[in-house]
This record gives sequence, structure tokens and C-alpha cells, in this order.
Amino acid sequence: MKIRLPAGWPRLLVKLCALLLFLLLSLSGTLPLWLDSLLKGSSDGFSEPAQYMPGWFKGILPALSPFAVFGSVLSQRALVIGGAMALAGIALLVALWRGRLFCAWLCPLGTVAEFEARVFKKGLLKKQFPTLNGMIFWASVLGACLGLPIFLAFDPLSSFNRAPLLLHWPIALAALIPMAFILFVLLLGVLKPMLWCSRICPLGFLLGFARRLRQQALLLIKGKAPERDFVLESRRDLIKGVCLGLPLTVASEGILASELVDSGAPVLPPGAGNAVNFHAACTRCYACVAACPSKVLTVGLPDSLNVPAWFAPHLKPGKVACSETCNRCSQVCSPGAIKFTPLPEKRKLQIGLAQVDRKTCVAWSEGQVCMACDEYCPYHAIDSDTSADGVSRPVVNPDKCRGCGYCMISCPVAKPGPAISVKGVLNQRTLKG
Amino acid sequence: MGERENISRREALKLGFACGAGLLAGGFDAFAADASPKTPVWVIHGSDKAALMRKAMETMQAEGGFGRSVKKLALKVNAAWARTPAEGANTDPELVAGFLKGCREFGVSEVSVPEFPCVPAREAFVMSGINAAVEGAGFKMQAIGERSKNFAPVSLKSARRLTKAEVVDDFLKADAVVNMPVCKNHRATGISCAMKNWMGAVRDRRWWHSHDLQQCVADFAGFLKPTWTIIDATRVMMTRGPQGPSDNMKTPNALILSKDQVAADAFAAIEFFGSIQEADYIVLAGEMGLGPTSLAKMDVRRLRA
Repeated sequence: MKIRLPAGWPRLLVKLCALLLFLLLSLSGTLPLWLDSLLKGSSDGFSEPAQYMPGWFKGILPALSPFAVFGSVLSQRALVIGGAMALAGIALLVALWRGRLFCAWLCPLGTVAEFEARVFKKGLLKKQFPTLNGMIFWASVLGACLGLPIFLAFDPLSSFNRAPLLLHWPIALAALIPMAFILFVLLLGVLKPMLWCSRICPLGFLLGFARRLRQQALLLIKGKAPERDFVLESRRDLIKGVCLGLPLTVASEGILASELVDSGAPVLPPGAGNAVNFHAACTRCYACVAACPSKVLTVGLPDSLNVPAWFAPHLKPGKVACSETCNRCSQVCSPGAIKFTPLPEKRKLQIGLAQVDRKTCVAWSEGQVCMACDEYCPYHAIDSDTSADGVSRPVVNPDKCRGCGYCMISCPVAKPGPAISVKGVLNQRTLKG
Repeated sequence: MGERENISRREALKLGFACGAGLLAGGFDAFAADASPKTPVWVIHGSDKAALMRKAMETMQAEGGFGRSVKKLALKVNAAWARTPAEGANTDPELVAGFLKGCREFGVSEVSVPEFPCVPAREAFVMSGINAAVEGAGFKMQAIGERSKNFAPVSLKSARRLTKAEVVDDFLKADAVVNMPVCKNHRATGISCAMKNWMGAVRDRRWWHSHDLQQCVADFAGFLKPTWTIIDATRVMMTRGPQGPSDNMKTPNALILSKDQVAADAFAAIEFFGSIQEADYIVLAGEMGLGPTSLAKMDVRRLRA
């Protein structure tokens, strides 16, 4: 009996292999402990998980999206030359000749959508769905130029990279919302097969647009007029993009400016620089969150109208802290939102500043001999102020405190929370000693 | 008959004389010391850590080892910090390796090494070198955390402040318990040594910090009394303890060995830090009658390895 293969099976096979490869890549770096012990057959609960692949492998998939990488570069307003730029550049070059080749052969999200389309052959939606990808693309470009990372919400590859975070425990609950992106794509597919890929995906638009642009450029060189359709369509997309992006950006920038004054800066991963740049550059792929061994790096629900900060990773010290001997997050960040920070530099980097609440601190308020914060501080940043009756009371030295949060772990005050707590700094800086 | 009476009278006189002379010469202290024998504290000097530990094991064996038919031993090391052995924040891994090797030779087949570190175990156990030492000897370390299941609630009878605690049950179930701390400066309590090391064996040590830490340390020492205390004083952090790194390190190249942890702590405090006043919990433990805190009540025997 002859086995009937589906039409275009070599392509499907390649897609499937690529999907598996990208899944593997997105799992690289640190495996969750439970998975690691399952693979090893035993665990003592504290040994480092084996590194099956280098951590930076995790950055490969998001780096294949020129949309995200260049969007990130634009919104950082700084040229970050690195592996990610090179990969994204190659992807864009290929697109100049081959257009959406990547979509058809490699894109993992496309594969998922395509397999779904094979199941739901007919969509629920009878009417035509408008083509939004050009508008979203241009709005993203405009937003990125003005510092609003709209592109974050729409990059398929960064989104796909988030999935393995589901395996990590404790799950950063808020991260589930951006992670639901894949579900959203699948849901769109029920409306119309591959709706995301054909009408919404801005990365797909960019890849296709690159090819058409090259064709039109060739026409121009030959002295011919570019195709009228292309010009009209592009102009429409651009205008729609500006109409969508400009008010969004202006509104959120206005809010941002007032927010930064009001609320304290979040504690950002070491190497993130400052909140504005980091929030603009981060693609929310959560490679850093998955890689963080202590899980101090997490994702929170939006707590303000500062849209660029939504769903960005930040540190939440309290039960855990940022270890002196770790810089994993900066190793895995492919858009360079967290700049690679070697350990000796990381040890000197101030990411936050601890504050003692003298009303609840047992040394300040009750005259107890405690100084647990001093004991736990790896950087000797707690000075002591001796009271009249000889009791040492903690005072944070702002030139030594890195904001790692070990003091918070140690603090014996349970209610209303640690008497010492870490707040973010507006700009991370390198301390002298 | 008469002769015998004479002799006994003479003897009685002699005894009285001796006592009087003794009192005159040594004062009341000497008399009291005579009544309760001095607590032996061994100090083993030497720069070769393996030899130091061998000597310690020999000494312990000569003094009855861990006791009769000891199969299960619980060892409390200090592996609390992500610091290298040279920095002296944790017990020296070579000493731990030597001790565990000695345990095997003593016929102890089961040694548990539980530790509740201050930083994540994966950092502290590995950087301290102690995990490698324990695994090298064929045993396993046990990472304890606040949510560990093997804590047993205990009540402390003689305590002044810490009347209840939850202790890692290995230390309660074992046939013998050995405390192997490192001697170092400690900014909260002055000195950290043997008694202070037990904070890594209880669940809610943070409570201690807000409820008279020094008294809590002394209280717990009244509850958990190890068979042996071996203090690592090969290098002693003089400032910036308990974590370091410190730029003021002493290298006494010594081990302090005693069956009495209060005596061991008091000796270490006097020897390296000048006096027991440097750590209030030693003074408190002495007041509570948990052990001798003055050199006069100790029989210090110096050995060379």
C-alpha cells in the first residue's frame, strides 16, 4: 500500500524540524530543576542544573526577527552591535530576495498556525478580514522611534520564546498574559485559517515588504516607474500606521513622564541601564526570567499607566535575592536590553538601593541587637549607628549598596514586611568599591 | 588499738593541713575546681589540615569516640555563605573531608550533613567546597530551607527566652551529633563559633534576631549538646564577619576540640578575640551554668599535628 503524503510534505517536514529545533533552543540555558532532576534521574534539590546547551542559544530565535531586533535598536536609540544584529541583518537580506521564505519554511508560530489550519479548514468568519499588518508595522516603527515599544506585543518569535517559562516554578503569573499570545494566534486561526500570518503579523509584512521594495528599486534603476498599486498601498499603510502610532505614543509618553516622578523606579536586572531604555528595548521574550536561578527576576502585572513598562521583567527581592555570583540574565538577553555584564562588573553595579524603615526596624524601634541585614549583606553596605545604650542600628551606605535584596531576606520583621527594602534606581551605576 | 588511733589522728591532721594549705595557695576557686574536674579542651596546632583532623580523630578515639555502637551521626558544618574556603566564612572543606574519612574508619556508616544556608544552597555548598568534600567521602549534604519538611518542634526547658524551636530532626534522631563550626568575627553577636552555628539547624532563626539574639543562642546551646565540638580555627576572620571577605585574617592553624561547646567557644573567644565579653552569648551561657567560661575551669591540652 502506498502511503499518501500531504501535499508539500518536504516543506512540512522542514517546518516540523524547525519547530522542534526552536523549542529546544528556547529551552536552553537553565532547565527547570524538576525537569533537570527527571533527566538526571536524581536530585539533591540544590545542585546546579546541567547545562545541556549554552544559555545564549535561547537568544537565537528572537534574534531572527529583524522586526524585533531593529525595533529594539530604534527604541533604545543606541546602536547595539552584536550577534543579534548580525542574525537579524542576515534574515533581512534573505528577505530582500526571497520575501516570506522564513514564514513558509521556518517560523515556529507559522507552523503551529499551519497545522491548525489543516484541522480547521474553514474559518468561522465569513466576511473578509482587513489586512492590518502594514499598519501595525508602521505604527511599531513610529512607536519605536519615539520610545514606545508597540512592536513588543506583535513579534511572533519573541512570543514563541516565552513558552518554556511555563515549565519553570514558581511561574511568574503575570507572564502568562503575554504568553497567551500563542493562544491568541490559534484563536484567530479559528476565525480564518492562518489569519495571523496573512493579515496581522508585522514581521511577515516586513519580510514581504523588503522583497517588494527591492523589486521596485530595480524598476527605478531601470528608469521605469514603480508599480502604482505598491505605492498606493504602502502610502495607505504608512498613513494608517502614523494615525495609530502617534496618538498612542504621545499619550503614553505624557503619562510616562508623570509616572516616573510619582512612582519609584523598578529594580531592573543588572545591565539594564535605566527603565526608559530597558522597557523600550526588552522584547519580553523572558529568556532572563527563565534563566534566573533564584527566580528573583519576575514579571508583574501592570501597576501603572506607564504602558512601555507593562510586562517587563523586574526584580522582586524579599524571599530571594540577586546573587553576587550570577549574571545569567545578561548572558541570555539577545536584544541587548540587559547588556552583558561580566561578574566583576556586576558585583559593582548598583541596581537598587535599600532603605531602612526606622519605625519598624527592631534595632531602631525596640533597641534589639539584630543587624541581620548587615550580616547578610554581601557588599558590607550596612553601616552601624550606635545608640546611647550601645545598640547597633543599621544605616544603608548608598555608595556601597547594590540593591541585591539580601538584607530583605534576613530581616526578622515579618509584619508589615521587611523593615529594610530595596527600591530601584533611576540609572544603574558602577560603584567604586 | 592506740597505735591505730594515733595514725588516724595523724592522718586527719594531715588532711586538714593539706586542705588549709590548698585553700591558702589556690583560693576558693581551686577548691571548687577540685570538687568538679576541669573540662578538657584540646588545641591542635599544625598547618597540614589533613594531619590536624587525623590528630583530632585520634584524640576523640582515645576519649571514647562518639560513644558506643554509633551508626548514625549528624554533622553540623558551617556552609552558610557563597565564599571560598580561604575566606574563612565556612568550615574548611579539607577538615570536613578528613572528619568524614575518620567517621568511616570509626565504623559510622551513616552521616547526615544538613545545613540551612544563608544564601541559596547551590551557591554556598558549592563555593565553600563542602559539597564536594561530603560527596567525595560518599555522603550527601542536605539543603535545608524554611519550607523543609524535616523540622521537629521542640521545647527548651532551661531557656530564658527561646522556649520553643523547630530543629532539623537529624540532630535529634542521630546516635551522635558533631558540631564543626568555623571561628570568625560576627557583627551581630561579636563572634561566631560553636553555639552560634546552631542557627543553621533551626527553622525560624529570624525570630531570634528580634527576640534577644544573644540569649537565644545561649538558650539553644542549653538544649542541643553535641557529642563533640570541633572548631575550625585554621584561619580566623577578625573583621567583617560572618560573611567577609575580610582584609583582617588571622591564621592560627589550629583546631579546638572539646566535648563541651561552651568551653570550646569560651576558649576560642579568649584565644583569638581576647575575652568572652566579645560575645555576650558565651557570658550568658556561663551564667546559665551550661559550661565553663574561664580558663581556670578548663584543662587546656595543646597538641601538635
